[in-house]
Amino acid sequence: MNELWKLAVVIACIAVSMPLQGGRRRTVSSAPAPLSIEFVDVAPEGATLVSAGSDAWIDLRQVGQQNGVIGKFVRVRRTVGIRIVRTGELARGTAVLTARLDALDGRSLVSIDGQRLTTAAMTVTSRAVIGTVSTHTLEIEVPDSSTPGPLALLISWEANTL
Amino acid sequence: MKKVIVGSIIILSTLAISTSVQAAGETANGTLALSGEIVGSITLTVEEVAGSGTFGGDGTATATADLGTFSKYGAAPATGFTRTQGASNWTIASNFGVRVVKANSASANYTLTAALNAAPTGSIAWTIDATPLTTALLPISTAVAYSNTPVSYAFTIAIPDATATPVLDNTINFVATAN
Repeated sequence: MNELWKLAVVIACIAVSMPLQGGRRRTVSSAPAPLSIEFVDVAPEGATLVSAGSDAWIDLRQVGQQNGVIGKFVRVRRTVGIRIVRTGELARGTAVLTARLDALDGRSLVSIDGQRLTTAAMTVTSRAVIGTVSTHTLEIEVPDSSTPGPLALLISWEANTL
Repeated sequence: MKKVIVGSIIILSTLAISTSVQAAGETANGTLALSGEIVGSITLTVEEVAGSGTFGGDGTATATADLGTFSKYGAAPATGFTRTQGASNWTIASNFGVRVVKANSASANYTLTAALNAAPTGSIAWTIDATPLTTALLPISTAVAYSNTPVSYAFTIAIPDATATPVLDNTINFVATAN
């Protein structure tokens, strides 16, 4: 008999909670997107990043070996500032920031904060503070064996709150 | 009955927490585009090789060699530099290496040229592999294959006995041009 009571209470609890979840979801989906990513130009390079909304562009210009430096690849570093913005009442908290390459071009290797980037999402930071600019080092390596020509890479970023 | 109530409270709390977690899962996206141009390049370094002196900046594009204070019959130059006494002049000889490698380039070989930074005084003659150096760039070697091993060259400085207080301070500028 006791077991039957427990089962009945559990079912009742689930039934009560269902409408609650549905109601919250409707509230979230009807509100405008409260979370966004902004790219910020930071030192030491400065003035190399052009941003428009949640998209940004960095022109690396000419990538080639410098005279007197012998290596197996050319390495270009850029520091990128990223701010996760949440509008509305909850403008605080943390988010998980991930990044991935849209495609591998076979001529260059890209790393963020020392971690090699692939087409699979990689966690850049698991606790990015919302509203604060976090800086990340972008590293592009071009092997000596790569053919010359235009370089075009696209990194997709995603922020998720817990 | 008491056990049932306690169990129900725990279940309700768990559901309430899971509801709030799901509602907080927000996502934002952004893209960062990178553009540039990979350009072919070659790089030159001056290096110590067998029979050379000790270089400051060995393995860089700006090496230096200090021969010390020496004379035809007195003190000898620094280790790695050979002095030969002639009838009316004397020479200082040594070797040095030049390494030229390429990156992102289809070039098969290169031409090495060299020139003195300043015209020598007192009829002092500088040569590399028997090519007299002037302040104009002259070819030292043509169609040299790119290699991680430096190519060794011999250089000499001939000083006439008639030159009073010879000054040897000078710079040899090398230029490698991809063919």
